[in-house]
Amino acid sequence: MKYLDFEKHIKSELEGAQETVQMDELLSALDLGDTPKKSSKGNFVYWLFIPILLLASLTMAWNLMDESKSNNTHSDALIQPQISGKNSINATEYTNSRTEKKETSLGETLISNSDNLNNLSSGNSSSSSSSSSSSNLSSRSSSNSENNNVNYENSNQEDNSSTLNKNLNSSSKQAQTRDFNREVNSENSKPSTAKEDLSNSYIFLSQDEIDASKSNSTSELIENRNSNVSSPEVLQRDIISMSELNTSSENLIENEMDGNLFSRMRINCPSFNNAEWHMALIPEVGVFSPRKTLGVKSLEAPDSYTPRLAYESSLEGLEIGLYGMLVRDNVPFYIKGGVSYSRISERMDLEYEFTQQDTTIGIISTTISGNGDTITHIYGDIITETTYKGSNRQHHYIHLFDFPVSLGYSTYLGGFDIGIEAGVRINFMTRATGNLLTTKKDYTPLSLNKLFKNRIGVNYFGGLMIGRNFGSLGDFYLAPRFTYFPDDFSNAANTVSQKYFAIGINAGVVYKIN
Amino acid sequence: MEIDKIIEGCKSGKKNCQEVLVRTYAPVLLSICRRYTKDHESANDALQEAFINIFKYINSYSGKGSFEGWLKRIAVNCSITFQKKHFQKYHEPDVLHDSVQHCEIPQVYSTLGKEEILGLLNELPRSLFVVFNMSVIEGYNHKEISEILGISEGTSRASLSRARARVIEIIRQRQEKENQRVNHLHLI
Repeated sequence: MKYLDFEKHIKSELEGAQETVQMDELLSALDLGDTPKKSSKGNFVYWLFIPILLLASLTMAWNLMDESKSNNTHSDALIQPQISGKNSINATEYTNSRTEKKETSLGETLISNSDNLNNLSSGNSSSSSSSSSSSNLSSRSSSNSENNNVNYENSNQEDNSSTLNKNLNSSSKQAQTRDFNREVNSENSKPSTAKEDLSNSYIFLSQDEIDASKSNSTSELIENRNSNVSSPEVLQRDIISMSELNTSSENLIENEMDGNLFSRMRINCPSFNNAEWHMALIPEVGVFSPRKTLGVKSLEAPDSYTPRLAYESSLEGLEIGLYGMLVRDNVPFYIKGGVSYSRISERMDLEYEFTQQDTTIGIISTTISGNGDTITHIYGDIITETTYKGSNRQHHYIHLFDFPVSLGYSTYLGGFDIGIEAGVRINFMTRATGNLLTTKKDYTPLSLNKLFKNRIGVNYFGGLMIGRNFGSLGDFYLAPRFTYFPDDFSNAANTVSQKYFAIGINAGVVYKIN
Repeated sequence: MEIDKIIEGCKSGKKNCQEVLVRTYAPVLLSICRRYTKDHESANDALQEAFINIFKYINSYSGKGSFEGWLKRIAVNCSITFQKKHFQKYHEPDVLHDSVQHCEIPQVYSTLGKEEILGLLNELPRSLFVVFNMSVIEGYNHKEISEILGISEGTSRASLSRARARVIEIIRQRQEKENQRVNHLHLI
């Protein structure tokens, strides 16, 4: 043999040679995943915050649409003129109203009628459930052919509401669009005394009424007022001084605080133990992204391990739950507990191509002696190589049934209920369905072979809660959540360990129990 | 998983892709490391160093050329670096004529297995063994060898000639020993 042929033999023998690697030692020594990463997980974080931004946008839009309504509510809460005998309004028309909501419109304005509404005689009437008064003041002025309707409601804490409907053919001297930053004319807003009739009362007028009122001169107004004073009964209003106006913003904040999810619960919910505890029912749905970690439990990795690492991917997980929430008065913490069902889906897009050698012993040579009287069979190893190539897509699902219990803290911030919560999920049942790869190319039906545990013990979760009240629709919240499953999902029969953590977002609606 | 996906995953730092890469190529690369180092322990250390460098510099792999070749080159570099202290500097010797290439050797050597070949090559001095390995088995040309080892191309050629001559000499010595053993048996 030529030396060059020997070199070729060396090359052929050694070029594709492989050595047995202590894979576990190597992998642990390499500390994989420690290299600089691109922001692949960042995409998920962006995805996570999209619904939050959406919720914020919706809330802002809701606020804009509901602005006048809520503003009037705040105003009425601040200014609750009460009927007294000091102010007299000539009332010619009565309406009884039990309305709690203020019937206001975008064009409504507040009028500080310190000068103009003096000496109005009133007819005061009251019903059994509410006090309502109407006054119809006729005008001497020819220009006041149109009557301006002035409506305001007087909410009585005991009677819930009292409504005054007045028909005024005069208007106020000053009209200001009601807002939190409204200006109070110095002439009208001097610290009032009881002698100043209606000096600091506020009446709602529509824009048309304001426009009409502008056409009237002050003198006419005064004449009008003085001419029609007859007072069978007197309405007296509490006087709101400047100091009270200065604290209006604080009051408004307090009123807004009543919008807090848990404050609302405290107000409206039935209570236990002498009104200390309140309860709500919360249906919740969620999606999460399971992050799986596969490992080898035996000394040698099973055939299915490498293809599972390469081809198996976790799909989005789904979660539904029903929770009960307990809140205690004056405590910002809450306790939540309930039942939940989660499903983790795994998809295997297997593509395989490998050669398998089978060795059998058989006749590898037969010789016949020269004279033909002897036949010699030589037995030896017969090596058969079979190449397997193909692809196969299968899924397997893990169903988790848990008792989640959590402790949360909530506060009201910027129009939202912002909270954090953390807790445990006590898994009481785990079931696996579908098909799991157990060889290089073969799947095992999980309904026939149990390869996952029946319970995975206690898991942990935590996250944020961002809630918002949507009026009659209820309280809605989104909760970005992290869940850690410390236990291995696979049982002793499965040599590939399967662990998870999950990042997701849940949405829930809070129903107060009445 | 296709190799492109594995590479992209490794570039993104995905652990499972890195693990697939290690599991796929570690046996081949360990075989290379084994050829350049004295023992299994050193080979394993060199392999570990090789993978660290692979993941460190995988972003520099542009996709041109064989990825396996790129991996092997890193493994060779790491093995050589690992063995630098054993790598003897030598002066450029006279280039031997390659008449040895046409030398006849016993036919039995055409059936040697991997371990037997490695046993034979391990009798070479390390410096010659490395050059022989890179040239004959890995297929590097002398320019590449000189760049990797930091020697001149002439030294590389000379080392290869000396390695070949030494291989033939080893074979002859083995053959003589075998003949002596057979003769001894006949005498008995």
